[in-house]
Amino acid sequence: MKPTTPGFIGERLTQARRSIGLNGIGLAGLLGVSATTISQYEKNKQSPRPEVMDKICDKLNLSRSFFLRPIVDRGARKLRYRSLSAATKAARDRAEVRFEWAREIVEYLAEKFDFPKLNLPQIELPSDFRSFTSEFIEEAAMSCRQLWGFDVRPIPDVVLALESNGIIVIRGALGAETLDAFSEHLPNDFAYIFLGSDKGLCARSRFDAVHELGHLILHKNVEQKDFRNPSDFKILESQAHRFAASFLLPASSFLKSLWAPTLDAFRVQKETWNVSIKGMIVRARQLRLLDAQQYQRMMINYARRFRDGEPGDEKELERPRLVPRCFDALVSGRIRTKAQLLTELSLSPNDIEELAGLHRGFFSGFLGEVIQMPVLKKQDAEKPDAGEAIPANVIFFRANS
Amino acid sequence: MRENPELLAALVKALPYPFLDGLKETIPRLYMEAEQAMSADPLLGPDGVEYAVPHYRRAIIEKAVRDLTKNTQIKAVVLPTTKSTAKYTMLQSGNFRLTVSYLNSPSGQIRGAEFRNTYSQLNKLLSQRSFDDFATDEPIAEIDSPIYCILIHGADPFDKRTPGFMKWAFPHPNGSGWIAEFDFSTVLQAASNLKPATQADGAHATLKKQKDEGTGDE
Repeated sequence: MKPTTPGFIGERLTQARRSIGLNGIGLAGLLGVSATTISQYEKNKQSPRPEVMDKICDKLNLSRSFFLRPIVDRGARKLRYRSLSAATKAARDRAEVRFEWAREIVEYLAEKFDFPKLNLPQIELPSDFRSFTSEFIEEAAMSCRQLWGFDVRPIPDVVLALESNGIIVIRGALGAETLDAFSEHLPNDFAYIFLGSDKGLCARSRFDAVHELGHLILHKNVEQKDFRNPSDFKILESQAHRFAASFLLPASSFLKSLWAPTLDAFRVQKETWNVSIKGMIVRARQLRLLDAQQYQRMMINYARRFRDGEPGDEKELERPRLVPRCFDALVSGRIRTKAQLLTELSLSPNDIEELAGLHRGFFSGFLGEVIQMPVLKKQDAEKPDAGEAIPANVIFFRANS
Repeated sequence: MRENPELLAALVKALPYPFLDGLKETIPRLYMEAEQAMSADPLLGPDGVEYAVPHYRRAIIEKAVRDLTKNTQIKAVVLPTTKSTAKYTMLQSGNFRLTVSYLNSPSGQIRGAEFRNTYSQLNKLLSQRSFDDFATDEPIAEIDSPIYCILIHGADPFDKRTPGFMKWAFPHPNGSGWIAEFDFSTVLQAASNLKPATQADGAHATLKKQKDEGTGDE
């Protein structure tokens, strides 16, 4: 009998494959085995020989222990994607796996830490989400603001607000232009919001975060099948959009500080509200500051003027703090070494660093990339090889901790 | 042009929020009003409307500005121009002297007028404040020295019936543009006292008590 890998979990191989957007054939090619063999591994009908197992770990950059860790069955999922219809299956697959890993990290930490309690407004929701009116959504957004103590003022840090009120926020690359964020809240579990870091636009990402908050508050009773129905999905998305706009730009204070709905006025307002100019144009239309014709014209002008991006987009993304703080507490309190954390989580250091919001190099002690800077020789003008570069001294920079 | 928070604060102090809020509500309405009133006059014809709208708009805006100063600390007077060929509205609030002018575009130059040139001389010391990084023996203006400021407004290029921009601008004494300028929204927002909410950092988890504590490397 040929030696195999005892305790190999086929679903872990599926996860690892999906996390990098490969199909069975692609993975087979990478490992030099047949697609049928991959299928057998994934269905737990066969387990890899030691040399194949080594190859799997090497090619997928995961430890052997990862493939031996059982998977938690979460039952029916209720992930709410933005732009679901436009996201490819590979992108959704990748996002789901990364989200699953993030949850495993959080569950690991939850054994050691008590997280802030979930604090969402208790709103009596009509049984049919299709009957939600704009007024109802505006009120829901305001009640959340009041519960969180924001009144009608601009919110400096949306991610901090979410985390302070018991929502776990994960930020990571989703690797898809069309996938911005998603959220999930299963009974007896944490509420999660996963924010894509791909676009890197702070105002946009704040809107995404609150859009997901809207789903968590307004659509907690909506069934999975409704999210799959395209026409219902459109309604759900537009309701979450309305919630986000109302939450970030409360009608009373937004109007109070806006003299006229012009692009220049919105540009100034962006500094205060940290909402995109485009988002403010839409909000101005919702609040009837613009009629349909003015709205259309403004969108055309917007496209002309900000073709290369809006001013103020260079602001840094808001970063989650809760999960990285747990890691810092474990390490600085000498409760776990970094090596222990890696072993117990069985994920690659890069994946943990990204999903847990840790700085790059947290586990590896990475010192930063070393770049050889060319410098000109002295008296270059007098020499025949003027302008030729020689390597400079190499200075190592420590990554931010 | 550099940021000038001190000047902005002084301007906000001189212009109470109800006055600014009134301008915000009134000026867009008066743009529309001027267009409609002149277009409705059968004696004017299209060319006449084009000629009359700016004059009519100026008159009703200046009247509205004066009306809005009632019950505020701002004093409003109507004064004749130097050659007494026309009249203009002059506002005074604290050390600020303010007038209102129309411009075709936000980057355009204001039309020359003797009274504006005269008031612009008030900003002589203010202009030196903006170069305060350079050593100078010249006296530097205190923020409570007299300052001249103009409320500049102009139509939306795509729709002349609505204002496209409004700003508070401080003309240079030598007529070469502005020493400083603030978008109307910036001033309105500062006056509305709409500061960001104070935010508590509650993103902390508490460590549970566990048997298995420690890395074993102590």
